[in-house]
Amino acid sequence: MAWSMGLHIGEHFTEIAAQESDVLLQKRFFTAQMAPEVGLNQFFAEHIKGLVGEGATEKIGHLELSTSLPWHIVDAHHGSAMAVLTTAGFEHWLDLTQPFKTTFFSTLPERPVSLFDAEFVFGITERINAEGHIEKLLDEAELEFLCSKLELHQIKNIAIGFLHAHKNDVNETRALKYLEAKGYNVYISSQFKDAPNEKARFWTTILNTYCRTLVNEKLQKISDILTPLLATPEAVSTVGHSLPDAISGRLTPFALASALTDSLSNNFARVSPFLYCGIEDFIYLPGRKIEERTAMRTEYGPLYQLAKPFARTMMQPLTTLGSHFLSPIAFRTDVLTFDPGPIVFGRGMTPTFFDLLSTRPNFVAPAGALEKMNERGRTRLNENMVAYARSSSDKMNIPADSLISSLLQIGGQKLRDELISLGATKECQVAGPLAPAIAEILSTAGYKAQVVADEFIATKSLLISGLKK
Amino acid sequence: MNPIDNLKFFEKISSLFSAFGRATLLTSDHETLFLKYETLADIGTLPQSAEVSHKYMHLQDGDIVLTNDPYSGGTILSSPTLVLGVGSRLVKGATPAEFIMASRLTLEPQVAPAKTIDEEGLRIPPSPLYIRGEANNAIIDAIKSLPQAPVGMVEAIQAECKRLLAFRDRFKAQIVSGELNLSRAQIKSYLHDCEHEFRKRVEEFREGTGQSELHIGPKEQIKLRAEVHEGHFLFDFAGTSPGESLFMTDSATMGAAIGTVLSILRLDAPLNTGVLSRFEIKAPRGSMVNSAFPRPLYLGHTDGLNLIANAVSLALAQIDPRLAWSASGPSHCSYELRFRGGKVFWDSLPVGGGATPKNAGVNAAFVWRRLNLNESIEQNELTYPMQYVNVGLRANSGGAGLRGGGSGIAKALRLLEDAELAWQFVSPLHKPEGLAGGKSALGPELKVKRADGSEIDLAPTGRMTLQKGDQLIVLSPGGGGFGAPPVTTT
Repeated sequence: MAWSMGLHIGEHFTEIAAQESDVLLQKRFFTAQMAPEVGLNQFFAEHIKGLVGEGATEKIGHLELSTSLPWHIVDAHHGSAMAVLTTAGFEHWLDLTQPFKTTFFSTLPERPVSLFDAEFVFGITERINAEGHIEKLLDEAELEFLCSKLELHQIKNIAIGFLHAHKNDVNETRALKYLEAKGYNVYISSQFKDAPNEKARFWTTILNTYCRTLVNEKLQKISDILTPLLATPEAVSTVGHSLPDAISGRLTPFALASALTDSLSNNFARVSPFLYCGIEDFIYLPGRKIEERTAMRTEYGPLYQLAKPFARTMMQPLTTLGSHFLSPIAFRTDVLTFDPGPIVFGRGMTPTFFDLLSTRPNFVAPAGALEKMNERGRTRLNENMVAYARSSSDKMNIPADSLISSLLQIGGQKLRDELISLGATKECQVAGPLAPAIAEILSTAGYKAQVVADEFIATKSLLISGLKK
Repeated sequence: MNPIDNLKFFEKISSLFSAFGRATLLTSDHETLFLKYETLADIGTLPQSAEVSHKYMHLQDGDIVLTNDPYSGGTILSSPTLVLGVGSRLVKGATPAEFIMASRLTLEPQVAPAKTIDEEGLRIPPSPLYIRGEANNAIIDAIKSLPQAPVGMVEAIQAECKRLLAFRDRFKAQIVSGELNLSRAQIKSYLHDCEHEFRKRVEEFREGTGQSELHIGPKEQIKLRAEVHEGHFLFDFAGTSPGESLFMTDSATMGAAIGTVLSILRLDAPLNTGVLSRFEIKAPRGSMVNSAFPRPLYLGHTDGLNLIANAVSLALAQIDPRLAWSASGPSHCSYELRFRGGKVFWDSLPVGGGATPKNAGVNAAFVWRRLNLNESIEQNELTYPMQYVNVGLRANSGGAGLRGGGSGIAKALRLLEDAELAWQFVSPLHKPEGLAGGKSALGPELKVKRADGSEIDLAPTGRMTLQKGDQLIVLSPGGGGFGAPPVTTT
């Protein structure tokens, strides 16, 4: 028997779906407690005994893999140390192009956290002009000194972004060959030739370099488990590439990260606008039959890793609540991670959108999250909301229930307005673990949201993509 | 209303404006309900342009008025404002506007050192663009025929009109459906609560008076006396000289003063009549902070407002030293290269921010413009006959201090074709000041390095011809430091 599988590795949740004939098995687990490779092993041992152990008779015929790890690595700023090589004279250019996060005038306008140390940005004597002609050819001897510095600081990942390299990549390629021969992991900006300008090209190179080591480590562990279980070595694929391609870095981390959105787009969002309501992410897909692939938005600027069009909405499951000029509690723009997570998980202290949703009487906690929600967390959330409702603010003395309802009403309106501005002007299909809760608050905001699939849509979508192949 | 209801009301109005960058909503009773800004000037001038347009054009539901006249509430000529009248009822026929919405566009400016506003470019006093939802094509044709109109102005105005009419439909639908309650009682209560909240928030800051004086030239200075009392801010510019190189309107000056206070207090307060009523600005007529027609305003409404912000922050630091903020770079060093082949490159540079008692100043920022550096070296090199030699932080441009001032930018361009250079920057006699022993920063500089290696330092404003092979070097100012720099021993 050969199983078809979908596997999605998020930052804190891993989701598996496996199908053979009429049998469909599904599981979601919390990765902070159980590493994906451990959970995967356990899943096989519990549910598909024929795959593992002595005398195993079954194989995995096809496994479609996706991960959102690159997004979370960048959001949490926990990627690897890296060096950046750019054209001499423009070493500050990348920092200068970063957009400010502060939306109002401030004595301290804030830029996004820098992903690399300014000390490891090196200006290299080279120049290609706007027509693509070489004005200064790169001399590899200049890279020697740089290597000794990187070795001293144990930096293995390098992003190279030279001006006009999309027109002529000779200098980037020379640097790439030299550095790869020395054992460094290198991405060059001319890999992303179609990016509209140097900012998009350089940042795409940098963001991929930043995530490369962590993503590859994770994939290697998964690969170690899966390889003996595969019917053929090519049985695992992700956006049309093999697992070795992904692990070696030939497939860039953000290309890998588009596997889920691409499959959702192909399988569920071909006609109508679609909102994937995952535990970790809310992702909007425009739902048109669009063949073009577009850049993605990050806090650092456009990421030109081509994917089917999608948008991560501003309102996310772990969007936090905090003070606002008009009210002691309101939605903020920052997003928490599941470590420490929402208050209902028992460790977090900051209320989130997820916490508010969890108070609704008909809220059904999705698998994976249900096990994490505990009485201590629920009590703490309740105390928290009662404290806000009876805030010392003059007139703020309303029942906690009313406060939560009002906040959910605001949350629903914000999400509704976002969907409208993204193009879903009248209605939207929703699916995923938090879809029923989101459909309810959107409906309260006067917006039609139809739940179209169950909570395991992500891995099922991967499964479908795999079966099509 | 309880705070959460106020928040809901604010969020509903905000969401209507999500597609607009610089916009305001007023009632026909002269109350500002909402204001969204990208420059300091917007805070004072957007409501002013709505008021002036309504006063003279008696807006009806669906009318749109166009203006870019700084003397009618505009900022600079490349930022036209469209003012829309909205009635709340769904009746047919002319109904007087009960609400006035103004939205401002951002087009590429022209740098034209000039003696009058009309020499700076095309000035459009409030003019009817749509009457009851119908386009007045005559004015569009007139703008099209004028060579001094900014590039892309007509297309941008037409697109904005569509957005304004869509806004009107959505706004009215929300009022009619009851989703948005804009009754007199609701508005009054909301504005009252905002004012009350503002007063409460500023209670924690000290009261008193402070003064500042900035000398721009031998006979040109800004004098300011600030007074904070019971949550009320008074800024009196008595003693400010008439302008010689710098001119501003009173509404732009007001916006600069209010915006600076809100930034220093770190109050992300909704801007409406409730909050604005806590400010009083006295700008003597004829002084540079309240100039009369036909003075040119480009430099005043860009760099000049940075100086007002510095004057306000220096005065507030005397009242409450916790609010101290050293001067930020005053000039964005605007310049324009008009190439022989006809292409025109416009540029202005970010500056270094001033340091505070707790933090170093920010590097290379448009401190008072909510714009991000959207420049692309590759696209510019492809579009214009020039090559970047370097762009980076200007070394040692921030004032030294316990907290250092932010750095400005150093940019060098090599010309690949002859060009006419025009530039304008403000260069006060005093460089961006440090506070509490912090050192001053470097001021703005423009230089030309000829192909033969000779260098020319440029005066603050002028025009000159550059030749192929010349390098233009632009150095934007840094921000002042705070506190005496640590003593280093060797």
